[in-house]
Amino acid sequence: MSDHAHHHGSYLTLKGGFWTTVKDWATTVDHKKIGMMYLFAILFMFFIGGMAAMAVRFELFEPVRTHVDAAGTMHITGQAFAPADAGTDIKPGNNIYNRLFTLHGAIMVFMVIVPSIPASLGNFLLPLMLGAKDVAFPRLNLLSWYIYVTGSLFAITAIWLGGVDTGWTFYTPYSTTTDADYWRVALMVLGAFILGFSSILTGLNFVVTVHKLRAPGMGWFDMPLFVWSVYAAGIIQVLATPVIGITLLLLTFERVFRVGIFDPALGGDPVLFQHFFWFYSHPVVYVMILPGMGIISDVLAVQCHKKIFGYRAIAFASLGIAGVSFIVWGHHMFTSMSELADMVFSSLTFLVAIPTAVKVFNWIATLYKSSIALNAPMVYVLIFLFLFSIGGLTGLPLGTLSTDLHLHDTYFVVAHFHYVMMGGTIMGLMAGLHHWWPKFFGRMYNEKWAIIGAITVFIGFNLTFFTQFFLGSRGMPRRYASYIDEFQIWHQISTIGAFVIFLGFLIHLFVFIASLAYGRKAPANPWGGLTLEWVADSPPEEHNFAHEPLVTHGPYDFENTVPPHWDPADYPIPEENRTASRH
Amino acid sequence: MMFPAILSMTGLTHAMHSNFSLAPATLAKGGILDWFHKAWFRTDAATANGVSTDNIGMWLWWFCTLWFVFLMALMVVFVVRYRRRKGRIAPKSPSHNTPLEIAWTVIPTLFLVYIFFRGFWSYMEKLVAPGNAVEMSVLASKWNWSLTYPNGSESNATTVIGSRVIPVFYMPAERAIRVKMNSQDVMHAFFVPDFRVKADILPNRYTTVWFKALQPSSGKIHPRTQVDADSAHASATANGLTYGGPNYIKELEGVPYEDHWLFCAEYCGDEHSEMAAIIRVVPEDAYNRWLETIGTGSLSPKDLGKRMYETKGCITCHTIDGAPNTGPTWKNMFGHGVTFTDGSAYSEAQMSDPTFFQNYARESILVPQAKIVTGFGSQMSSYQGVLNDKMIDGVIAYIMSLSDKAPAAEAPEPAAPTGQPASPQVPAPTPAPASAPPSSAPH
Amino acid sequence: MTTIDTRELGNRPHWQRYMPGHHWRSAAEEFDACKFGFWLFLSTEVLLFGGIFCAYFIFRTLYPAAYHEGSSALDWRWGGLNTIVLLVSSYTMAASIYCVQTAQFSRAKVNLIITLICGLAFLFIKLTFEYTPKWSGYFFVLDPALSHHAGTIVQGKTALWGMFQFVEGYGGKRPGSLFDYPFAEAAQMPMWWSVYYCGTAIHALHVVIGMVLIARVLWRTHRGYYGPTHYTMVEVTGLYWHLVDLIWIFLFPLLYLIH
Ligand code: HEA
Ligand code: HEA
Ligand code: CUA
Ligand SMILES: [Cu+2]
Repeated sequence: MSDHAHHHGSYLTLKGGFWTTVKDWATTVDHKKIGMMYLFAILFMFFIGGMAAMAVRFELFEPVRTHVDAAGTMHITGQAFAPADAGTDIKPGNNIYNRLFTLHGAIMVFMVIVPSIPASLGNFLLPLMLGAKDVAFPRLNLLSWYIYVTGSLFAITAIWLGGVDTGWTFYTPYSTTTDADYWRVALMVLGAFILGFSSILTGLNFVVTVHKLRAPGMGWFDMPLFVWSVYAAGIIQVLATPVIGITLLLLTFERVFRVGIFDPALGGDPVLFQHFFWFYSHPVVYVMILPGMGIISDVLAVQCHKKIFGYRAIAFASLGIAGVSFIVWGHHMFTSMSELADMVFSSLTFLVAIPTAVKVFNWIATLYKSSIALNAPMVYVLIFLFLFSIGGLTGLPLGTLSTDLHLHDTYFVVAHFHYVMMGGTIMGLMAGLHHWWPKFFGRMYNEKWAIIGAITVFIGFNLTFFTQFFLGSRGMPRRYASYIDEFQIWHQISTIGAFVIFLGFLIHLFVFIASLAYGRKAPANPWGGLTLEWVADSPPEEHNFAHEPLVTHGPYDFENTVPPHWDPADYPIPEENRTASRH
Repeated sequence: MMFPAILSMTGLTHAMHSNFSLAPATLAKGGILDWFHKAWFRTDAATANGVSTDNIGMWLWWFCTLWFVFLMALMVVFVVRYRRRKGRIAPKSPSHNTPLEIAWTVIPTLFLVYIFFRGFWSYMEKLVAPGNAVEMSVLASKWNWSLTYPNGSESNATTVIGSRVIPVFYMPAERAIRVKMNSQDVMHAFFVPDFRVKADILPNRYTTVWFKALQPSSGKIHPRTQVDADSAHASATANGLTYGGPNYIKELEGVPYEDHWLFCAEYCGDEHSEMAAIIRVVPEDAYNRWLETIGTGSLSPKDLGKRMYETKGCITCHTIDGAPNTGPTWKNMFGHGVTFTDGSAYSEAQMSDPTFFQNYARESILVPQAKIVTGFGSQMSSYQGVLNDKMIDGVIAYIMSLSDKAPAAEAPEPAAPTGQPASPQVPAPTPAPASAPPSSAPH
Repeated sequence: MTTIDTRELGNRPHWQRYMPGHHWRSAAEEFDACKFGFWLFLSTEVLLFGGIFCAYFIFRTLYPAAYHEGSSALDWRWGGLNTIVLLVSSYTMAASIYCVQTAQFSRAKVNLIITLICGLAFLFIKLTFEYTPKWSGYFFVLDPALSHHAGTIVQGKTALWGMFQFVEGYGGKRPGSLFDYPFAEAAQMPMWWSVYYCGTAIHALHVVIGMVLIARVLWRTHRGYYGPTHYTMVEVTGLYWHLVDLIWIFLFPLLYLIH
C-alpha cells in the first residue's frame, strides 16, 4: 500500500483549466470534494429558505384585516404579498403567505437541516477521523449528491410553477384536495421522496464506513463522539426514511389517481397519514440534532483541551436517543388520537429527554477545570448550549398532555422547534464550520468578526423566537397570515429580530469570503486537536494521509498527549501525566 | 434548593386533583407569580380545568427556568474561571464519576415521571365530560364555524371587530358544555385559548371537546338599547378602535358577558387565519332567554331525527319497540353491547360512550356494510347524500333517546322551546339544509 | 470501486484482474462491506413495504366485509401461478450465483436467463390476466379534450381525477375510486382496491428494477467480469431478487388467500 504514499497535493489543487476542473469535481468520488459540494448546495438552500423566512416575517409585521363592502363580500386588505394581477390562479389572500411558509419549512427541513451536518461536515470528516481514505462506497456517495440535487430541482420546479400551500407536513385531506395546480403538489412530494433516497444512501454509507473502515487500533470507544453521533443518525436515516418514502408515494398516488388511503372522502383515514408522517418526521428531528450534538462534543473538548466528561455516557446517549426516537412520534398528534395512545406517547416522550439531559450535563461538566479558548467555534458552542437548552426544555410542556392541548399548533411550537433546529443544529453547524474551516480550505478566518457575527445572530435569534413563546402561550395559532391586534407588538419584535439574524449571517458570509480570498494560511492543527483529521494536512491531500495512521491514544487524551504538529514547548504536560505515547 | 417553596406557591397541591370549584385565584393575585402568569398567558384561564392547565404550565415554567438558570450559571462561571491562559494547560481532573452520573440521570427522570402524571390527570379532566353536559354541535368548513344549539337552532349572531364580521356563539357560564364536532371538508381544529382546550376536527368522524366556563368576569355589559349599541359601535369605529360590542339583542339587555376567541388551529388553506369566532359567555338564565328567542320554530335534533325516521324510510326496516325487523331495532341500541357477523363486538361500555356510539351510528348510516349486526343481512344502502349532517345528527340523537340509558342531558334548559317532543304534529318547517361550503363535494 | 490494473495482469479475464477500491485493505473486506451495506438497504425495502402492510392490516380490521368481498374478486390461481414462477426464479438466481462462484459461466448465464424469463412471465401474468380484465372498459387518457369518448360509450361518465381523465365504461375495478362508484358491492371496496393496487404495483416496480439488475449481471458475466474471486454484484443482485420474491410471498396470502 505504501506505493500510494507519494504526495498528490491538496485535494483542492486544480487539475487543469476551467472545464477540466468542473469535470473533475462533477465526477469526483473523493469524500472531501463531495462534502464541500454538499456544503455549498446546502448553504445555498439555506439562503433561499432564509429569504422565505424573511418574507414570512415581513408579512407578519402587521396584522391584516378584512373589510366588508356594500354587497357584503369580504375583502382582504393590507396584504404585503398580494399579487399585482388577478390573472394567475393565485388569488389575493393568504395564499402567497401559505406558499411562503411551506416553501420555508420544506426547504429548511428536507433540503437544509436533514442533510446539513452529516452530508457536508460528516462526509468530509468521517473518513478522516476514522483514519480511512474514503467512505465505504465513494461512487454511491457521489450518486447521493446528484440525487439530492435532483430532489431539490423537483422542489424548486414546484415552487417555480407557483408554489405549494400544504405546509411542510402535507396533511391530508388538504394536500390531496387543495386546488393548487395538480402537478405542483405532486412534484413537491416527489421531490421530498427523492431527497429521502439521498438521505438513506448517505446514512447507509456512513454506517458501513464506521463498521468497516476504522483505522487499525481504533476500537468503538476510541472513535470521536462526532463519529458516534453521525453513526446514530445514520441508523435513524436508514430505518425511518423508507416509511416517509412509502407515505409520500401513497400520497402521490392519492393525489394523482384518487386512490383512497388517507382522504376520508375516498374512505381513507387522515389520521393514518399523520401516523405515517410522524413515524418518520419525529425520528428525523434527531437526525437533525444528533450530528449537531456530535460537533459540540468534539469542538468543546478540543477548544477546552479537556477530556470530554463521560465519553461512554455520551456515546450511549446518542444510541439511546436514536432508539427511543422511534417510539414517540404520537406526541405531534395529541389532539387527534385516543386517550390511551396519548398517554403512551406522552410518557415515552419524556423518556427521550433523559439521554439529552445527560449530554448537556456532560458538556457543562467538561468545562470544569478546563482551559477554554473563547474563539468563534467555542462561542458557538456556548450559544448552542444556551439555545438548545431552551429549545429542549420547552419540549417538556409540549410533551405534557394537558399543556399541549393548549400549546399545540401555536407559536409556542414554532418557537420550540426553531430553538432546537436553528438554535441547536444550525448553531452546531456554525460551530463546526468555524472549527474545521482551516481544515477544509487551509485558511484561517477573521476571529474578531466571526465572533461579532456570532453575537449578532445570537441576539437576533432571541429577539425573533423568544417572543414567539409568549405569542404561543397567549394563543396565537401558527400558519396564520393575519392575527388579532394584541399580538402585534410581539410579532414586530420578532420581525426586527429576524432582520438582525440576517445581518449576522451576512457578516459570516463576508468573513468566509474574506478568509478564502485573503485568509492567513492555516497550520495543520490550529486548535491542538487530537483526533486524526488534525494529523492530516490543511487542507488534506487527495488520499487524506501520507501513511495509514495508527491510533495510539484516545480522541480526547489532552492531559497526556502533545497534539500532532505541536511543539511540546507550547503544550507543557506536567511530569506526572506523561504516561502514554505522544507524537 | 428552592423547589419546595415554589411547588407550594404555584398551587401544586391543588392541581394534583384540582376540583372544579377551584377559583382562578389559586395563583396568588398581584404577586410576582401572578405577574409571570400574566406575562405568559395574558389572561387567567376562563375554565376550571384551564386553571389546572395553567398551574401545570406555570410549574413547568419554573421548573425549566430554574434548571436553565442553574446550568447557565454554571456554564458562565466555568467559562470565566477556566478561560485559557498562556502557558497553562488544563490540569488532570476526573472525566467520569459514576455516582454523579447516576444522580443526574435519576433525578431528572423522577421529575419527568412526576410531570407526566400531572399532565395526564389534568388531561383526563379535560377529556371526560360530566354526564349532564349540554351538547352543542359544531360544523367546521372552509372557512366558517357553525354551531347548533341543543334545541336544533343554528347560531346566527355576529359582531364586528375592527372591520371583520365575526360569528358569536352564546354559551352559558358554569355549565358543562360538550361540543360535538365534525368537518365538511378538510381538517380544522377547535381552539379557545382562554379555555386552554383544543381538538382536531375531522371529516367523516366526530370528535368532542368539553369545557365549563367560569362566570364572566371582564365587567362588560350588553348595551341597554339598540341606540346604545349603535352609538357605542359608531364612536368606536370612528376613533379607529376595535369595539367588541354585540348588535343589540333585547333579551340580553344589561347582562354581563365575557368574550373568548375561537380560532381554527389546524391549517386548512387560504382563509385559515380568518376562521375565527367569538364564544360569548353569559349567565345561564340569560343564555336560556336568548335561546328561546332564536330557537322558536326549530326542531330539536331528537325531533328532527324522529321526522327523518318517519319520512326517509328508516321506519320500513327498523322498529322502535324492540322487535327485530329487516334491520335491528333502535330501541336500546345506545348503551347496550352488540356483536357483528364478522365475529367482532362492541362492549356495553363502548356503546355507552356517546362519541363512540355516534361514530358507530354515523358509520352505519353512511356505510351500512361496515358493521353488520349478528342475525341481519347487508340489505341497507348508504344514506350518503340523502341525509345531510344535521339530519344525521338528528337521527342519532333520536336513536339515543330511545334507550333506557339515554343521556341525562336531554333537556338541559328549564324551558325547552319545543313543547311536546314526541308529537309529530308540531308544525315545524323542515330545517334548512346546512349551508354547503364551496368544496364540500369530494369529486 | 473497480480499479483495474491492466499493467501486470495482461489479458486475463476481468474478474482475475479485479482490484478492490483504493480505500480497502483487501477484496474480502470490500466484499463484506458491500454485503453489509446491501443488507441495510434491504431493511429499508422491508420498511417501505411495511407501510403498505400496515395500511392493509388497519383497513382490514376496520372493514372486514369489504376486504372479504375484495379478496374474493381475485383469482387465487393466477396469484398462485405467479408465486410458483417467482419461486422458480429464486432458485435459478441462487443457482447462478453458485455457478459463478464455481466458474461454470455458461450455466450461470442460462440460469440468469431463466430468471429473467420468469420475471417477464410474472409481469405478463400480472398485467394480462389480473390488471387488464379488472380495468376493462376504461380509458385512461392525459388529455381532457378526449372526453368526447364519453358520449360513445354505454353508461359513459367522465371524471377529471387528478391530472388524468378517466372515461368510464362498464365493469372493471380500477385503482382508486369514490364512495359512490358503481361497482362497489361493499362501500369500502375502494379501500381494498387501493391497497391491492398500491401493493402490487410497487412490488411490480421492484420486479422491473430487479430484472434490470439481472440483465446487467448477465451482460457482465458474459463479458467475464465475475468469477470465483469476484462476484459481489452477482451476490447482491441475488439478495435483491430474493427480497422481491419474499415480499410477494407475503403479499400473495394476504391478498389472495385470506378472505
Ligand atoms: C432538532 C430538532 C428537534 C429536537 C431535538 C426536538 C426535541 C424535543 N421535542 Fe420537538 N419538535 C421539533 C424538532 C425537535 N424537537 C419540530 C420540528 C417540531 C414541530 C413539527 C411541526 O409540527 O411542524 C417539534 C414538535 C414537538 C412536539 C409537538 C408539539 C405539538 O405540535 O403540539 C413535542 C411534544 O411533545 C416535542 C417535544 C420534544 C421533546 C420532549 C424533545 C426532547 O428531545 C428535548 C430534550 C432536551 C432537553 C430536555 C433540554 C436539555 C437538557 C437540559 C437543559 C437538562 C435539564 C433537563 C431536565 C432536568 C429534563 N417537539
Ligand atoms: C432548519 C430549520 C429552520 C430554520 C433554520 C428556520 C429559520 C427561520 N425561520 Fe422557520 N420554520 C421551519 C424551519 C426552520 N426555520 C419549519 C419546519 C417551519 C414550519 C413550516 C410549516 O408550518 O409548514 C418554520 C416556520 C416558521 C415560521 C412560522 C410560520 C407560520 O406558522 O405561519 C416563522 C415565523 O416567524 C419562521 C421564521 C424563521 C426565521 C425568521 C428564520 C431565520 O432564523 C432564518 C435566518 C436565515 C437567513 C436569513 C439566511 C441567511 C443566509 C445567508 C446570508 C447565506 C450565508 C450563510 C452562511 C455563511 C452560513 N419559520
Ligand atoms: Cu379551519 Cu384552519
Ligand atoms: Cu417529535
